[in-house]
Amino acid sequence: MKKTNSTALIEHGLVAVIAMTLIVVLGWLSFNIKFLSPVARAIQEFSLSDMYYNIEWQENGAPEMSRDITLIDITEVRKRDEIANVIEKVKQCSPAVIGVDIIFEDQNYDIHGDMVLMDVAEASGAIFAYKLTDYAPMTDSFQERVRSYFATDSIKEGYVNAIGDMTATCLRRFSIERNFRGQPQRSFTAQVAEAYSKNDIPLGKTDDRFINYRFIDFPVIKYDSVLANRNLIKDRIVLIGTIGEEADMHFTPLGKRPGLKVQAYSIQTVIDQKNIETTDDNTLMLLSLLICWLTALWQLYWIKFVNSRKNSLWVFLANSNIFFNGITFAWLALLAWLTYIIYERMEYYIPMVMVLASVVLVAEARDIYAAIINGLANSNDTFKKSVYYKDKKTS
Amino acid sequence: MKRLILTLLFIFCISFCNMILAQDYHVCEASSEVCTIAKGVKTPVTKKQVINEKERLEIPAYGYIILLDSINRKSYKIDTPCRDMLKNIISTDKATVEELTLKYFRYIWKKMCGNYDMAVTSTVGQRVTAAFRDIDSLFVDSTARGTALTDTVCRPIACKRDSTVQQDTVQVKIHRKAECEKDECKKDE
Repeated sequence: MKKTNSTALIEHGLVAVIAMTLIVVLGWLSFNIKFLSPVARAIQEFSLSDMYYNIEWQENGAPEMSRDITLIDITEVRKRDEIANVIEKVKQCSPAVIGVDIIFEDQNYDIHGDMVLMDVAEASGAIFAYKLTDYAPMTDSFQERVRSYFATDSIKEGYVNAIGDMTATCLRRFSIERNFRGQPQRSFTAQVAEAYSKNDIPLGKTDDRFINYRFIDFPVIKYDSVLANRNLIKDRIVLIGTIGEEADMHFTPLGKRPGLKVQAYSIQTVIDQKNIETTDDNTLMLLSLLICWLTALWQLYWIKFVNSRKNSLWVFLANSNIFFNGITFAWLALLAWLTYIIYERMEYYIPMVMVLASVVLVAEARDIYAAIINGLANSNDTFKKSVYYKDKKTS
Repeated sequence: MKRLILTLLFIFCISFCNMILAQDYHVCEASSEVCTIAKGVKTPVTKKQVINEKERLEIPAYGYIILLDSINRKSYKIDTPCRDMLKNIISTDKATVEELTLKYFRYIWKKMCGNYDMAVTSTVGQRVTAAFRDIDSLFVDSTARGTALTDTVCRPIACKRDSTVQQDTVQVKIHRKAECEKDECKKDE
């Protein structure tokens, strides 16, 4: 009996391996065949973390207001001398750090405005944005950059490139460091957070991180009421940029958000040390295999249990695919719940796409394995001992 | 009998003192940046210092402090940046599994009902604004592919009749684009 049980466990393992093989093959096909690319994109876009944020944000009531970061909205300000004036006013309110999330790319016809902004940029000690371009995959390094016209070595700068695939992408991560012509450069987020905390992010911890879109919001001050809100600026990080500019809107798990707020969430993640850790690919593969194995185990025993009942209700359930699918759905919901608890309690994110997809394919894998076993049982009686063997006479 | 009463009194006094002392925490270890704030003056925390739970504490990013509540035999390691009363910092705890489970099932139920509650409780104005926002986002760029009902960022476009929606939205976009081109300051992320 003990031997039979251990054989059954191994067989469930084989079913799990078939399910994983199916997911790898289907995944490979989706990513390599052009006309299946929408499927691949849909899989890429799926993340359970979006659901976690939505759960957190569904709560009624106002979110917690950040005590570290304040945003200054200059959407309606067009002239550069006026922007300089806003920076100057912010400086008067003694903020801890000023970050300007705008690239002033070219000098325009307003020479006076350009000169004023240049002077203020140098005197303010603010951190300005720039963009890295022309990525060379061979050297893992960017070759060009777009900077403000006044950029010099004395002005602090950080790149503001978003992590994406150049198509419509949900912003879930931010970077700490990228290479420019072989030299490591710190991001705008990292520069601002380091200046505020007066501590550098250690060299070994420069991997891309998840943006923690927790239940927090940031005070937004309009450009013309800076001095009236000194208390919201003093000793805080002040990010100057656009809140209502459509060109700077990004798709996030919370919906459409301005780039300035995405920066604020990224910076808050760093200074709060609320980094979300995640599993590496090998661990994820093992976890998927384990969960597939468990799924194969309970599904088979459920089928056997229901089939062995004589009651009419159980007979109905045994023949009802919808009911079986309902139970599988509940199992998926349970797995999602477990990962949600792990995420909230331990700030550890398990990417569940592969796990959930392979669980869905377990039924398919079980049929494939049963077909193989039944085929082999015709020529060799030992396969008839398999738990997946269906005796045609009895069935 | 007298001894018994004295012993009870002694125990009572000790317990009372413990209760009072429980409001104080002993600093076991602290990074150099951690400080207390009294009347706007920051004082760095030192080892073996006693901090009352009503004192304001500032822990910067990457700073930490280990406190000991000797009476309750509990130690606290605080390493999240904060600027608040010690009492509030310590009492801030994560949601329990039960609370999280409740939230989770409430969310699942809401989704299963197709956000029915949200649709029923919202006003006509809110629904129209949300619809216009969604249409608005389609004309923007490929990175802005949708809005949430809770989104407070997008400026709602004034309600118009259905037939004019698309045309007006496009005009708004063209107008905004023209504004951007006029102005050379570009913003990219």
